Amino acid sequence: MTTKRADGAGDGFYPLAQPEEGLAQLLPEIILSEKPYPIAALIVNHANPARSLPNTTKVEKALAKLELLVVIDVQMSETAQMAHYILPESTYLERLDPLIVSTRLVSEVALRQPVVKPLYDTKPATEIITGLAQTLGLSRFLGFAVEETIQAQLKTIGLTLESLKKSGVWQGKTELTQGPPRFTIPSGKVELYSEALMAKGFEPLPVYEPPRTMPDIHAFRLLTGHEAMHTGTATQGNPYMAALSKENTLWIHPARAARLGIENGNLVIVTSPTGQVRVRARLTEGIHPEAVFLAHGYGRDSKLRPFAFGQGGNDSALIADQAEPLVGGAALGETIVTVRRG
Amino acid sequence: MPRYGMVIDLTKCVGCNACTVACQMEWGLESYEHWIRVLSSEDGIYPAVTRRFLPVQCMHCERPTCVSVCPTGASYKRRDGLVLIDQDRCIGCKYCMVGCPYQARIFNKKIGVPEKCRFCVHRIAKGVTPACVMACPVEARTFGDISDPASEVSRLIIQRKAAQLRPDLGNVPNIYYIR
Repeated sequence: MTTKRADGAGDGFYPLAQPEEGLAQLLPEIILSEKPYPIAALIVNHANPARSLPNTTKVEKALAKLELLVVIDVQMSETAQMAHYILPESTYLERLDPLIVSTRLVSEVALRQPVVKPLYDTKPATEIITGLAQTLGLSRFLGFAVEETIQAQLKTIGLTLESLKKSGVWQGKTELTQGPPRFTIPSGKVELYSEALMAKGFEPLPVYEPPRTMPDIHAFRLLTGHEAMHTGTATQGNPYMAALSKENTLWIHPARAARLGIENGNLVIVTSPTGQVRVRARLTEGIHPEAVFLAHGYGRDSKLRPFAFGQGGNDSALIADQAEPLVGGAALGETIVTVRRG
Repeated sequence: MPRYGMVIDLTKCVGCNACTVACQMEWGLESYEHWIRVLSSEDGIYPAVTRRFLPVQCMHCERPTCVSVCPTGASYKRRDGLVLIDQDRCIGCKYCMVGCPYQARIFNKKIGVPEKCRFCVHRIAKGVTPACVMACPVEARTFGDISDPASEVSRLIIQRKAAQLRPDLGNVPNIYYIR
């Protein structure tokens, strides 16, 4: 029995999207519209869709509609707050994980091993998932221990778990660094003209398409991004990271700010078609006058993460959920916002 | 006798603060205690704008103001270049904090003594590089013996024209910056 992926990754709407990666940003729309089919339950592991996905209001509405939401995590995220069941996960220092594979110029395989026994009543996600599978009678698909997964992975490069436990990291041959790299696509090169795109009915060469939205003289294009100190929505509750960067600020060009009567450090209200946030302004020449920038991961409402609670603004509340047509990626640069003192 | 120093390549620094946090972890500091501060500045008019980062910590000066103003001799200079604080001799008067032109010292209220970068004295004694050097993801930091002309730090100072921060102050720092 095979069921088509609801997000269409690898087939259907987005044939060129990677099914292993999936298109999480389409999930709220799929849950709410029940197309291509209804989704009743969701198991979330080490992810925080209630903050990481665009259009927070819509995401929270979709998560609330689920009959069953299970969250496996090391911390009380906004998604975990909404869950019917939270299955507490061991931290990375307490668990054995499937291999970490890096495919840069020199390929690397790394093993994450526990250095302490779990301090509390937690389990690694792999154990939680195989345990759930066993109870649900799905052991045929997911009934193997993490050691077996690692050993199967290692077989392809002729290593054993025991040897990797000693070395920790395995490095591939370094031939790739001498001479140009070869890619696994048929041409073996960087493709400006893509046969794969043409075969699926897309333009094989990059073509200019104007943005879907344009700001008028009173509005701004909202840009978002990550700061070096933080990782997604996972670290804002860490006191050491919060001490370095506690809240995000709205980067705005001084000339535009002056016209709006906004000075450096003023509180401003940023409004988009999907939401509104209140943050401090940071006047900077480092931003295009037609755009504003707001770093991702702030504006949190999980009370169990006191260092992050209520600090800065949630950029995801402002961003519309739009998919880019080629591979279904989240179109994060298509949101127009207005800014006023507040 | 070596003279320990550091070269920080500002053309590589991305302002990630990995050095700051590695230092905090190495010395068991509280989240708000920073022995390394990464300052940032912005120059230019859009679109020709540059953002620069400047990690600042104890410079382990050759002529340290903190040592000369210390009334009890708690702040002292070692022969290998390190400036350290003898906590048992410190009376917590904070003269050194005011005297340091690089504002490298912070006050530890729990023990009533100022603290600062110690060039990871316990690590370098074992021949291991300081925690900030090891943590830097872009390898902007190099630690070594400035008195040895064959050392990597000496080579960088000469070839990359690494310079001290505010040499006009006369403290003769042992941290050099490549700009």
